[in-house]
Amino acid sequence: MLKSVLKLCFAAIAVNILFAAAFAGQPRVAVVVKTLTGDVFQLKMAEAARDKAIELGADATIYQAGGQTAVQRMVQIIEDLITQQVDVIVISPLDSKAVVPVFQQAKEEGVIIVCMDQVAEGDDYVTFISTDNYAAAALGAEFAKEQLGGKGKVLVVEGAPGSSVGDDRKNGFKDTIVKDSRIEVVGSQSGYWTNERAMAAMENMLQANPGVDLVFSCSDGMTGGILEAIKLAGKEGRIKVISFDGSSFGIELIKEGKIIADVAQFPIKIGQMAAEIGIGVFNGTVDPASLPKFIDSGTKLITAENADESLADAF
Amino acid sequence: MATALKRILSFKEAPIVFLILVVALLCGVFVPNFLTAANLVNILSQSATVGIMAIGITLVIISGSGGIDLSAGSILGVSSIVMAMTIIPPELYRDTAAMLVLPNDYWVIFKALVFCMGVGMFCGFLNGAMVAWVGLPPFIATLAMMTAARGLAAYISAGIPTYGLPTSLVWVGQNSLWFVPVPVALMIALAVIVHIILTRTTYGMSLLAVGGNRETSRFCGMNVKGTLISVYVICGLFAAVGGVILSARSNQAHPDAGIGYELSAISAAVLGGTSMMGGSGGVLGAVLGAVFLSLIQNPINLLNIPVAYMKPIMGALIVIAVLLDQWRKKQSIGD
Repeated sequence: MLKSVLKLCFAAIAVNILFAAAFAGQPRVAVVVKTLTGDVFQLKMAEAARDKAIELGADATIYQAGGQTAVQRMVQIIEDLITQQVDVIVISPLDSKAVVPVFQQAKEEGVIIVCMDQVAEGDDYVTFISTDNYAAAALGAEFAKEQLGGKGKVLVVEGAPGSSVGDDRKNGFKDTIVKDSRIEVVGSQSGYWTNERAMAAMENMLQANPGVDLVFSCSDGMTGGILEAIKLAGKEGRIKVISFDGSSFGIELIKEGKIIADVAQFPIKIGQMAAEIGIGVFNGTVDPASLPKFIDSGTKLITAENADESLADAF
Repeated sequence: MATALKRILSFKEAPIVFLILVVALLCGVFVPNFLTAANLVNILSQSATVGIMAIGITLVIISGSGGIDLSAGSILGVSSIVMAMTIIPPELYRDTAAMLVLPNDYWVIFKALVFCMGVGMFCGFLNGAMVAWVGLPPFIATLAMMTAARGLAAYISAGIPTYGLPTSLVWVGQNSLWFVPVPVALMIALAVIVHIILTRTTYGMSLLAVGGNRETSRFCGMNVKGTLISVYVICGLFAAVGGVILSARSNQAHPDAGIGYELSAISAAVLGGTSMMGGSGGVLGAVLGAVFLSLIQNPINLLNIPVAYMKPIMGALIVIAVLLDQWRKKQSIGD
């Protein structure tokens, strides 16, 4: 009995050594994201990063913390990855503060960290690639201003409280829309990134502000619920909706005439760039010192005019 | 006067009714647009999912010895995903882009509802079996189910949310019978039925007895294990019904639907005068508790108050409700 167990152990170790030899010189890349459940943005970003890394000859795996707020689990994953001595971690941190100690530890161990979509504090990562959420939301606000002819009442459905991404979008929109206009933001409440809570917040805000002209949704993931609330209030077609994300779902809504615009982000591009830079630094082809700390992955305003062509590269 | 007060205080729903009246009165005076028919209907509709879950959870809490169901929110998630996946053809399910337009095939919808409630009851049965037969503490058993059911929802749906359900199903979530929204009518009907079962039938009496004193009930020859399992099955069923309402109302099925709803439902039950010790409580109070929870969310949205202020207020209100309830018990048992 003992003998066969020992044999099995030796066999396992031998296989391990063989594999390690086979992959020697090949960078090991870990893609770490919040969750792949119900979050198409994170899913596409993670898959793009993994696929790009494999294309560049790396061994890549996706790890998910398993929830929008599973901070502790994410920290554990990073600790385990340091123990496994991965070379590159491409990560979308859940919490900008909680990951700082493990990032420091990883950097000391020589692990290359690239942040995508969300950033961490400190400077233990080589660069941060994301949509410039403030500027992107401002782009949506400019279009809203134009559509409203410079006057009217608007509502904002925010992301979860405390999310830096959500705050940037909300502030970018609000700051821009009131500038040089007679537009008033009459309500701004959290939809917690979820459909049903966005719907309830929208229903309630519509009660207080029946004469509202336009709504800005901080994510396509909440726009379905907002549209249901508008429909139930009998105001379909009378309230314009602008959304954020530029997912295929949002673009289809533009084509159906349910929303007037969607501010696009490019998760696939973010994931690919993150993998490229991480592996570039590992191979020595990219000098981390020359990299800017923030790389804007770009944004685009999608309206009825360019909806069809945008659908081609949407996520 | 004193006897009138005493009569009022003999109802365990008295504190929550009092709180609802106070908040509604304050809002009516200070919040513009609060006292409109449409707004009050919204508040009731928004409370329906949590209210229906709270009915089931109240029965579990009454069953005593730390009876609690932490898995109700996850059961809601997995059962509504099963419903959506039965209705939506697989090739459309993977198409995350569109707002789906589906035919009203009543046979398919019927099947979907049966599967949905079946999954809810099965998860509830597993909870009950772990508690009654294996002897796990309800907190642990349902905590395990909470994780497992949520994981299952994510796995079978591949994490994909879908938009658009058949219009006849959406009717259940969005339309009204005369002036009463269907979800609210359903919540009231279920509450009344369960209230009658709890107060007027042998099953209800034995549940209260099991919750009050499990050992004595066993010595009296009651089927303690069967009763325990049954309340978890009912709780699972009501979580599934909550899932139908939530999906139909938002016209969507989401693998993360209902996260945290179990805590709202437990709060609603406690607000409604159900004792965490078991053996006493009522489902009408639980429904009123759910209404109260959406009632206090409403002025926050109407007045555009930042969300950070609201959570401490909710915490304080729960404590106040429980203190009121303890005071009530002292008064009505009395002297």
